Amino acid sequence: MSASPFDREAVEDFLYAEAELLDAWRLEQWQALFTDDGRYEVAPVGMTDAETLDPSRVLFLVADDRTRIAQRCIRLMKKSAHAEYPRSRTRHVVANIRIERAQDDILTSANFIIYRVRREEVMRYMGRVLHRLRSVDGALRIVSKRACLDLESLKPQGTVSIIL
Amino acid sequence: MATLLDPQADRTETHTPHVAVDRDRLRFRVDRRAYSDRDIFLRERDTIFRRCWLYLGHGSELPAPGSFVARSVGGHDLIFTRDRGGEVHALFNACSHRGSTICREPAGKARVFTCPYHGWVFGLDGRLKDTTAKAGYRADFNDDRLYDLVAAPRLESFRDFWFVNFNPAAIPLVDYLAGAGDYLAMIADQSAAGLEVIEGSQAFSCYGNWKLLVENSYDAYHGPSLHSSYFEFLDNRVSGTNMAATQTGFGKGLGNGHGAFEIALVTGRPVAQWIPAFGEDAKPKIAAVHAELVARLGAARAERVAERQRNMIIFPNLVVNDNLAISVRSVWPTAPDRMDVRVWALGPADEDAMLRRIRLDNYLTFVGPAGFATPDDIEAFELCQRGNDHGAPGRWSDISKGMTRDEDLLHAEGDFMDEAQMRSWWTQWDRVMAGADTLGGVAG
Repeated sequence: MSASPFDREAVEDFLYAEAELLDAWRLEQWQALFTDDGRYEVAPVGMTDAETLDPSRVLFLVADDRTRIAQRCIRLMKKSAHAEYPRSRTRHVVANIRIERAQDDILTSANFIIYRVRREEVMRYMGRVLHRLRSVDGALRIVSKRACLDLESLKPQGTVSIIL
Repeated sequence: MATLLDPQADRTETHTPHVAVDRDRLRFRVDRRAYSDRDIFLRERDTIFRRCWLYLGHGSELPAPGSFVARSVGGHDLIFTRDRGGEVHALFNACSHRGSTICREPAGKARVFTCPYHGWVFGLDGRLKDTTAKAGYRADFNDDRLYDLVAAPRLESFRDFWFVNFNPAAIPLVDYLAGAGDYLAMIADQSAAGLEVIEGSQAFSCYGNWKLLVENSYDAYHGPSLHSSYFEFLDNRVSGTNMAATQTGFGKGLGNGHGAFEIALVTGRPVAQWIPAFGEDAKPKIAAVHAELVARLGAARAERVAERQRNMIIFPNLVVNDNLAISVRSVWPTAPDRMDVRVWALGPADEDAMLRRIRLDNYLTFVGPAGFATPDDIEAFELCQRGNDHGAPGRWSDISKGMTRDEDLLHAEGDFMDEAQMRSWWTQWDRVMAGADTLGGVAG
């Protein structure tokens, strides 16, 4: 770990605020958290090395560049995104936050559990999420976010139609 | 119910009461209990999934001697192996001693399989090698091979797509595939080096009868409505034009219940249709792939392989979609109202790294549990199942679109937006369920 300081409270607050935006379905604000070259990824499930897999060689569940992050949010806010209309209720719980510096960026890893309620059924998505954060004009931004699910298959969840 | 079976009226030519054909009014209808009834679910297990050829896996999943994949097919746990000599096997994953599951890893490489219970050891060809006990068995205990692992009664391949059949008397795979063989060949022909399964296969389950996914997989009719949000995304990406309205093509039954639609739609394909969104760097690479196809397959076949998109069902439950990328899926009933789905992406074994990246990008945008379209398909299955199970007043689902008076149902043809391919599927379902077609005789 680098000796240069970081503000743990600010980093934690950022991750909690991100979770809050997702639970509130404020996706326009959520996507604005990403830098211009930001990426959002969900690694394939059932593999042991999800944190280091390369999405240009292995099939991911999500491997969005900045444009597709925006398109994903536009689509999800439409009534015609049927899998999320009416929208699921979700609750993102973020814990065990570890933080380290990598030159100008801050790398975080955190455990997550997301409860999703759809047609009165509760399902869970759990795993580890890695963020690369950067301070841009005094505010933290997401350079990359990769969710690695602790699942062997999407049974019974079926889809990942929400944002993790 | 029995009145639907009146052969004199020439209105029904079916064998079960669950499919009704009315050629006068051009109506083809399916009893919705076929999607929810427990007896039908059990009968499917004993007929459809006992007598049809079922997809096991692709040869590329066993890259070397010693490779294995554990996979459930038709309710049976199998191990798909390549033995030391390179020969491929499909073995039941149960010890010949007391029935314990032997192979507990989903895939890998092994010299032998060792049962965790009493330590019996088997080769990847299924041969019993060791019982670990020195005493208590006659020297000729396994001379008749009674205690080797049991192999699936039939295992055959077509262009490295491997299928099993639990009926020893089944017709050969190549005959079973009928017209679907050429469609599978068109996909295999995409590369002289063969295809490979790309790492990162997907498995999910959802609420809904398995036949809802089958129908959905080659139902172009639902595209513009259910997937409007996907087409809006595509319009922005490809051309700014209305993509859904530019499609043209046909749908048809391919014999034995198989069927497909084939369309011309410019979405861009790594093999081999360039669009500006792929970037200028990719243009010469895709042109080279196209030129190789023309040289190897001739201009007409190459045009079809490269520029057309196909969604196919190999009866009963194998989806082979060759559109933005190649996607192979198998769907399995686990209850009348629940299905398990497995999805693989395939690509040329020798694909250029940039084209592979484009392929995966293309793929996950549409397909897959977090794509821009598949979650909405799953939503449609769940809504249909809900409607079936909870009192939709109409008892019949309609599959009449594009029906003609004299069509041969197993080889029905129509516009790609019609439902000819689905009528072929349901006609075969009806025949196999009733035993009117046993696909090679009944053995067990």
